[in-house]
Amino acid sequence: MASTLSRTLEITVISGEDLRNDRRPIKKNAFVVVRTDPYNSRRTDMDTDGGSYPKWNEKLVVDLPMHAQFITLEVQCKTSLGDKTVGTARIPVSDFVGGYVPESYLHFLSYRLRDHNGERNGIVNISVRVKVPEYASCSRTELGIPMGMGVAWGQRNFGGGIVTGVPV
Amino acid sequence: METGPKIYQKYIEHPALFNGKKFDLRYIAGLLLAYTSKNSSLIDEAILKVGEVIQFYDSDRHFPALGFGGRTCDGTTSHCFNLNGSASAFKVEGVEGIMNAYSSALHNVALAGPTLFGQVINKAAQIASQSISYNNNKYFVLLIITDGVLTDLQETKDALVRASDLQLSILIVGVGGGDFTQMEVLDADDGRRLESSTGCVATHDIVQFVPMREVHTGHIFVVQALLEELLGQFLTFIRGRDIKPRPLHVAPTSA
Repeated sequence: MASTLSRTLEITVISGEDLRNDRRPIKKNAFVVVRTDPYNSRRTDMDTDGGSYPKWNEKLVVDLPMHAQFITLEVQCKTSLGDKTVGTARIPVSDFVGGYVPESYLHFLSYRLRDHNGERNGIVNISVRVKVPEYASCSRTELGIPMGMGVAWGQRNFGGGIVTGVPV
Repeated sequence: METGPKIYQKYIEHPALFNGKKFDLRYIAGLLLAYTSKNSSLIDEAILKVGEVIQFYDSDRHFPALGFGGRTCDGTTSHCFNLNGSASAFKVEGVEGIMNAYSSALHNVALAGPTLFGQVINKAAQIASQSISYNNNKYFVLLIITDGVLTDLQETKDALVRASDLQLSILIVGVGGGDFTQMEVLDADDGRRLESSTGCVATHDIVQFVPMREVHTGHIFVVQALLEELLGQFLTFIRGRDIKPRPLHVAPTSA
């Protein structure tokens, strides 16, 4: 196996909104498949009681190849005829990598889902955090890079008197 | 009439918000301002009215002040420039500093259409993003005062959708009698979430629009109108990230 460069993502699939199957609100058993490339995917459990507004709140840890430009989220629904894709969102990696925020920033993102005809079909809400970059190799030797800049907001006390102003 | 901090204090002291803990929002707000208007008396009034409310939330009272829709001496129209005319520093001190920067801009820059919000919002998002890198833990409020009719609706939506992931709220004050229909769309009070051209959807509403004419007719107090949604937007941000308030050390003083 060739050594590859990848990022580890923590994707929390939070919830879905207004999901429909043939225009009727889905009743139950929606789940989400996250694909980082055609061969790698992770899926959430089924939501059993949220109907067309399912809540999953499930954290999936996925490896994202450095060259990847998109990840795909598919909301599917288990029916008596098998698993049916309700809607898909194609998420640009640039939505949570790059920019001015620290790399480990917790992003809250929402996406429009589209069915196989390209019609709008609900929204999916997720959060994404890029974990410390890791040089994956055959031996899985991890170069633990300590986080210096990217101290997560959630671990910090908010407020306080230290306001140093906006860096220009 | 209650001043801004007092009204905020009332919200903050609501025990349900933070499990009974109080904390002082005045230390965390950073204010950015952006204006475009030829009607200086209306802008003056809006700056004074809004400024006197909002200045208390910025602990150092140094506000980045930006202009947009201005034609500079070389003839190009800029949609995001430093209001004080400085090439590097965009901060001004206090409401007086804002007024001075605005009057100097009126002399040095010919205000011109079209009215584009996108660049100013992206600049505010950049400032808020960089603040996170510096661990400033500061929540930002971009105040846009304008009499123009928005012409870059989709670009503005794209910028707002991206910014909805940041510690940023945007207050838009519309002055004059213009058509502000599109501002109402941005405010998203009808429950429709803003959607970008790439299919990304705003995680929550970060915009509050207030037409100054409604303030004039006495239907609403400007303070009330401006701060109405701000606290909810702030709470949505910190709750989503499980940020815990720090206990209040300094006794709140009346402003």
